[in-house]
Amino acid sequence: MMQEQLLVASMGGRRVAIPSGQILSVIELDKVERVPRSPPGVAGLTALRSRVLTVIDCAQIIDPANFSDGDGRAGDPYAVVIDIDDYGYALLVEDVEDVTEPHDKLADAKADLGAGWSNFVVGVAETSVGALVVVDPAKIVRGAIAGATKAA
Amino acid sequence: MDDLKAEFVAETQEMVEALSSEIVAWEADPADRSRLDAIFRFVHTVKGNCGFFEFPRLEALSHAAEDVLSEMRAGRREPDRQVVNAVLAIIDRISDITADIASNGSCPEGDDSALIAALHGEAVEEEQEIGDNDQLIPRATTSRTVRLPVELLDRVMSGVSDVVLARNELARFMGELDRDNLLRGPFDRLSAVINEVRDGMTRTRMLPLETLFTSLPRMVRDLAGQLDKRVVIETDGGDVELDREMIEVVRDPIMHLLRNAIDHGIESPEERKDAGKPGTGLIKLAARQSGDKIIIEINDDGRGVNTDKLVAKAISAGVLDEEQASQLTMEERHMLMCEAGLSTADRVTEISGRGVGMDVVRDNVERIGGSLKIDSVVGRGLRVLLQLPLTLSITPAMTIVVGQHTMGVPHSFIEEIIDSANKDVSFEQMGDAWFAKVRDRRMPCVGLNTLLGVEDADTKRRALVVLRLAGGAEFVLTVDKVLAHQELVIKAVSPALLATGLYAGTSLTDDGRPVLLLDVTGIAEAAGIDTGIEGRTRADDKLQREWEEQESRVPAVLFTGLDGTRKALRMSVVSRIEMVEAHQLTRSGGRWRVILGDLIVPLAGLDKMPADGEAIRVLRLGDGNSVLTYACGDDTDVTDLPEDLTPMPGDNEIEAIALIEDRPVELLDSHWLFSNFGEARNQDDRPVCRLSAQNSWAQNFLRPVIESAGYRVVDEDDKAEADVAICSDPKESKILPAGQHIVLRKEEASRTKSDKSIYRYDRDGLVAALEAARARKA
Repeated sequence: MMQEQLLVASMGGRRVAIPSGQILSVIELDKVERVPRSPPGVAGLTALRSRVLTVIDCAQIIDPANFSDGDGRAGDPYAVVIDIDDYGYALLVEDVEDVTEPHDKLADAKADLGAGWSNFVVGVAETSVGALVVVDPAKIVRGAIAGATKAA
Repeated sequence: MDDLKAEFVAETQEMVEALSSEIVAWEADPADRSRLDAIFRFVHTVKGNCGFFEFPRLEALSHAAEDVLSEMRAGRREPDRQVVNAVLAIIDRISDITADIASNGSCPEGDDSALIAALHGEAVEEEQEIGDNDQLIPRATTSRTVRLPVELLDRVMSGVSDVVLARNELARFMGELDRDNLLRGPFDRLSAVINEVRDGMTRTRMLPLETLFTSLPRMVRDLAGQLDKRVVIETDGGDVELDREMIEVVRDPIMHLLRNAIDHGIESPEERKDAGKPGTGLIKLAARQSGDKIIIEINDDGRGVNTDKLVAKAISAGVLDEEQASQLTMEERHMLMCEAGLSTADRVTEISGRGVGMDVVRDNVERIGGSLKIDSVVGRGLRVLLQLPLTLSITPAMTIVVGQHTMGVPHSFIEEIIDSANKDVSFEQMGDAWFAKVRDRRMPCVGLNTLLGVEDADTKRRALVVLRLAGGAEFVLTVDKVLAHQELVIKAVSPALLATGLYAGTSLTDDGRPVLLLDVTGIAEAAGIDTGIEGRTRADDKLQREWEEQESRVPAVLFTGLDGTRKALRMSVVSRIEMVEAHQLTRSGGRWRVILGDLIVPLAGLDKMPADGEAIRVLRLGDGNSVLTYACGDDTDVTDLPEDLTPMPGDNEIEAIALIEDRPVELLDSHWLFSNFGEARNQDDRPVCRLSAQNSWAQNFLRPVIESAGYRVVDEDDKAEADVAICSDPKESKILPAGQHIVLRKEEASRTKSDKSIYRYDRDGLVAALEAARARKA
């Protein structure tokens, strides 16, 4: 049976896979408009054609201890565009490698992936480029919203 | 009126259509409370709506049905088969009459007494006619409109926005092409078509609220008349545009709320006089657009609501127990008004009925994703705040700059925009808060840079945006710069940013950059400006007191002279700051002079010629008679003079030394400056124009125009003989003596052919008239 294809990218210094079904597009970020008083995890806004996307700093959502400030990654070149509840989000990633197909269904991680990661990972996939943790981009966005609500 | 009638018909028919399934269900199960409520709301709405028109039959029918249904809702009457049939027959009859109104425009003659009697259990002869559901199929009315799903319009609209952006990008490339490039013609045509399409798309969905507001004064007058009350309504924000669909949705809630305000809120003239209020009640209806929200506020100055009474009633009706009641916040206590079946009104009236209004209003508002808030002060009035969503909207906005950011401020909140260097503006600090005094209004002043934590732009000069909240509270927002008026297509801001409470929406500039639209109400709240009804009155009192304390203060302009010392000048003599370049300076007779426009003005405070190409700043001073300038550094600021000044009797130039921010400041003696440097302007050959000093509009807006037309401006107290006077009223010509009078009118169109007055914003017309007067003089 065909498995859903995965986008191999890196965020927070780690290689991850993102299920391609949720991804509208992968864009090269031109410029991110900073938003004053934006909550942690929100890097700013960017435009994709006539849409305004909220740019989410994935590394900061996943691992706030090590990525407290978005400055280091505002220059991240790529973003994965997804839609959550009709709002468009651009998820900052450090690199985009390839699209690959997992050999089998997702497996459990079978280990504690660390406080930050375990909330966003939906499983582990064996692929031709090795074993990858599969993150759910929607969970990252919801993490950012939850963080924002808490900050307010 | 015909429009209203057509709307009434369409609305009633739509409701009947929507109700038909409810009716069938209610017939099957007369005990079903929610069906009963739905049918009740229908007759209630019909009754309310037809009150505007001369439809006595509809009114009688709906009122009778409402009475019976209300009895059933209260449990005083069982919904038996016979009464259910009778109600259904009435709905049928309402539908029939409505269809007749649709085709003939008037209510047909007829007798409904049998139907009404049937409600009360009296036997009806024509049994078979009652409860005949076939009648409920609404008649098709010929229509030249098409119903489209909003979602489709959204999609087309966003497609059009994409086209516009692509066009703008293309236009930038076109700019690099030769002027006579073959592509230009087709591109210009394409561009014009795109504009047309965009405007058309926008219009397909939007209507100004004015279309709704225009019918209100009449309705209020009529209702008040029926109740022997005197009420006037003031509307504000009629230019706020709303989705067509939205206007339909807000119509009912607004009507209900107004009826409640007139019936239960506003007291009788006698009662009002006893309470020390004017005999005529005032209802203020204001609409504001903020991002993807419309805020509609209805304020009356009536008796307010006694929440203790509400709570007691809620307890006795079993809605709450004592303990729950004791934990309610003030807001929750007010919201009890929206509980079905609760009403504080002691009597039931023709107009707003039995407290059904508020639960219907809340249901309707919440159904479309809006919210409703009520607050009141007993004896002083009630305020209802409706917040309604707007999925897609074009918001007229001012784009502003703060630090590195460009943002939008919704136009409907903006009262005015003033330069901080304007002499009508002064700043005062009280405690940690800043206030801006614009002419005679003192308002809390919020620095957007500080509030947003954005780095300061390197400028002392800011733009002041005076904002007025829906509740009437005003405050000033300082920004680095105001850019332009733009029509922004606003999209909702994502929840991740909504949580900040500072932004109401996002949009794109013409070149495709995202901009944020500020949530003005949120900004006011974040800055701690009280926006509630009680806060408003409290703030007014507080401001009044502070005002009195502050009246004695003397504002001054603080600057560093070119010799490096801190100096100050009384604000009253400073008219503005000007940048002058070295080539504008001349030296003759041991004095510096500066050329400003066509004036040669003495310049003090300068000791050596600045380098070529270098610009210096000068304060332009005026005592009403002569003009002079004083050279200053870049760091001008406005401050209040402390009360204790150390006079400097030995020094002519310096009036006193003041300690400001722990530094000594020389307060320049403006009298000495003028007597020493001032020269009567070499303007004897300039024509003189008289302008009333009382008319601040004329002073602010006309004066620059008149001066740039080469006139010297004097006011009514000036003895000088004037060549022309500008009057905003023909009567003013008596107090403004002059050789000739130019009368300005407020309306754009002139009243009569012989009317020689000029529209007050017709700048060209005014300049031409001034030119003509000058030519005559010469």
